[in-house]
Amino acid sequence: MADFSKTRVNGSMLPSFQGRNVCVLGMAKDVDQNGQAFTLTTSDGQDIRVNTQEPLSEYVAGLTEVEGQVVSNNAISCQNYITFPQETSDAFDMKLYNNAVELSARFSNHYIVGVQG
Amino acid sequence: MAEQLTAGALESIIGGESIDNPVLQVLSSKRISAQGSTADRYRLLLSDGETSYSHAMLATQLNSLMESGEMDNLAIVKVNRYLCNTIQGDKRVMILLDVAVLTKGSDVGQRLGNPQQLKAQTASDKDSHHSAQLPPQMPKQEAGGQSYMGVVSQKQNTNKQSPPANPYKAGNANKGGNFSMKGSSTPTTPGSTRVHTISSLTPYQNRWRIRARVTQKGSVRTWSNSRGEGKLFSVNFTDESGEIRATGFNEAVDKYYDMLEMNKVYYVSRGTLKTANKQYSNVQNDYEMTFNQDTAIEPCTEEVDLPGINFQFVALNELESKAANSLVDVIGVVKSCNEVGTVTGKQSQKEITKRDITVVDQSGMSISMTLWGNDAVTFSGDGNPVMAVKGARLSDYGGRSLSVLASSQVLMNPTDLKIAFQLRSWFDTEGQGMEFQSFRGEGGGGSGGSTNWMTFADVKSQNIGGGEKADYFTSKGTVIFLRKENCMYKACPTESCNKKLIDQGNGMFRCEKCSREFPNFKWRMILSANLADFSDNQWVTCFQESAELLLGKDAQELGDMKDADEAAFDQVFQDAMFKPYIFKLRAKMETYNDETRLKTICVNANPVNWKEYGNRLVEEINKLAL
Repeated sequence: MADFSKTRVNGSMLPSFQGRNVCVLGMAKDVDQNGQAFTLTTSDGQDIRVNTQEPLSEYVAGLTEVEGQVVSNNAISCQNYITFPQETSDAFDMKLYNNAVELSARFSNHYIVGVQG
Repeated sequence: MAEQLTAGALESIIGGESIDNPVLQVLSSKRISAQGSTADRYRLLLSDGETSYSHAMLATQLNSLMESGEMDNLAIVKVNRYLCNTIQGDKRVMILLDVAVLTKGSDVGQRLGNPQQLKAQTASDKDSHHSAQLPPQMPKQEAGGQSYMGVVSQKQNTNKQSPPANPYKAGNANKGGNFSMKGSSTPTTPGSTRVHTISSLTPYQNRWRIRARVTQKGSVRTWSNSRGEGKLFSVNFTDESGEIRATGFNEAVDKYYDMLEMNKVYYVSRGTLKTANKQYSNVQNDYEMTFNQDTAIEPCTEEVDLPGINFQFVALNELESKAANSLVDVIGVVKSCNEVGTVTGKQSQKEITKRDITVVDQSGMSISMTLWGNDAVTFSGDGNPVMAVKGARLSDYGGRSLSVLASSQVLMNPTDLKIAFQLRSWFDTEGQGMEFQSFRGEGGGGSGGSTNWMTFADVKSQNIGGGEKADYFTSKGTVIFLRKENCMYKACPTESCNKKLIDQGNGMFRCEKCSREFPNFKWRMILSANLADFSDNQWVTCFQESAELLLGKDAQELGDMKDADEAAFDQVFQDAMFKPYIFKLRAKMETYNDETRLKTICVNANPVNWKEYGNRLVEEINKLAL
């Protein structure tokens, strides 16, 4: 059964989602020299590594959402990403988002993600 | 005949004493025909077995006793309630207000005892017009009034000679002496002036005179309706016996408004008394007064010891049990006050200044009080003053809150109220640091209390609006249907009037409220919307401001669009669909022709503040403690 879900996670949840597709929203920084990786600070304050398929065509910074597969405890392989404008980035309530992520994981039967196969 | 007459009662009563339920015999009676539309009056010759008295009148509400013959000549009656008034200086008239016929005259058959005419007592004041043998005076009929005799209390001591009517059976006139009304105060001004207590005022006699302090004075108000226009003002008069509200219209405003000053004492006579309209005042009196052409008001220059404003304070924690929109008296300490702000009047569309302050008292409750206009601007909460308000309006906004009206009286740091001192010392010691409970109600956070969040399913299951008063609640709802038809009406273009205009068909529109016709109008909205949340949906009526918010267009624009570009008009409604808002709603069961249904209106609509909303949800989920 193909896994179409892209559960929103934070850094501490990564280990439990090994090999699965996830969605991570956080603050991007430290783009690699060859543009194929960057660091994402997740909503619970953890730093994870994001590896891209192709080199980045733009400088990624600020609020960024990454979809991809979890490859290790602290890295994901990025399939898609979007960046957000400065204002949104500044106004974003990370704490509230983190609450939402944790609650929806805790009560995943109430907050169903993706298509049930 | 088992009944005994109360011997000596008449002499005592006329002498100014109070006798309870005297038993008297009606020796004879005479009907006095009314002039114009007033009722007939019956004059009675009463006897208590020892004395007879001819200056007795039957109150008109008892006329049926005479007409039916129940109280016939020689009947023995028990007088349950009576009044004894003084006319023309020293003549006493007894008015029977409530009477029980013990034995019919036909059963009695004779005069009991050997009653003698009551001897006149020496008058001690300077009523020099009297001679010892005045012909019997008939009560002077006031044209058009229900009064007959009352007190002539003009300072100038004009002794009105009423035309002697048919000589009454009893013969000589009876003169009362220098007696005052039951329980009244003593005259102080030379010139045979009598003063009556406010509590003794009734519409049944209009020649009275009171001496009272102005304990409340409202500002001049004007009105304009289909019947005409005018101006009025009201004052409250207080004396030792009680208080009464008095209103002056039109010319009376010009005559008396400036003259009557707060807290000063005046002699007032010859006002019209009628049953009080409790809607406009919280004064404890069955009657209220209107100044008329004959009214005389003079300042009282002597030192009199009349009480000041009469408060009936309600503790803040008891306000919950009082009805909303009622007037209450409160006293408390000003804990804090907000800045002066402005609001746009819903009806008037005018900018009104206001200031909210928080008042606390020893019951541990705090309440929000709103001051308006000049009061708001000049108010100072420095030093946490003690504040007493008489006649503040209690509202159910925010659970419970108070509003200082034009007719309310405010005393800051009153020095003649014991309770004020108590509050001061309480606040200075423990009150300052206390945590106060505030009234729960709708309203987005901040001071005053918590919001009453409800889901639409809750609203239905909890029978919201089913009680006596309206229920206010807040919901996050999404617009799922808007009724395009009849969402707008042509309203009166006058600034504060929103009445629907009647199309005269000739290009003119008539407003019934303003009694005017206009060639123009303004568009106003009444939008029926169906709102939904996850649990249920609810039909809600939105008025101008909230409708404009939901549709994102103002009424005028929309009105023009309706006729000009129907497609664009429809689009506006389409675009408004499925948008979420935080709604403050008011629900009340209303009955239209035997049918009772829940009517919900939108008081306020605001776009959702997602952060606020999200945080609230997190809180709620945590509370669920799953």
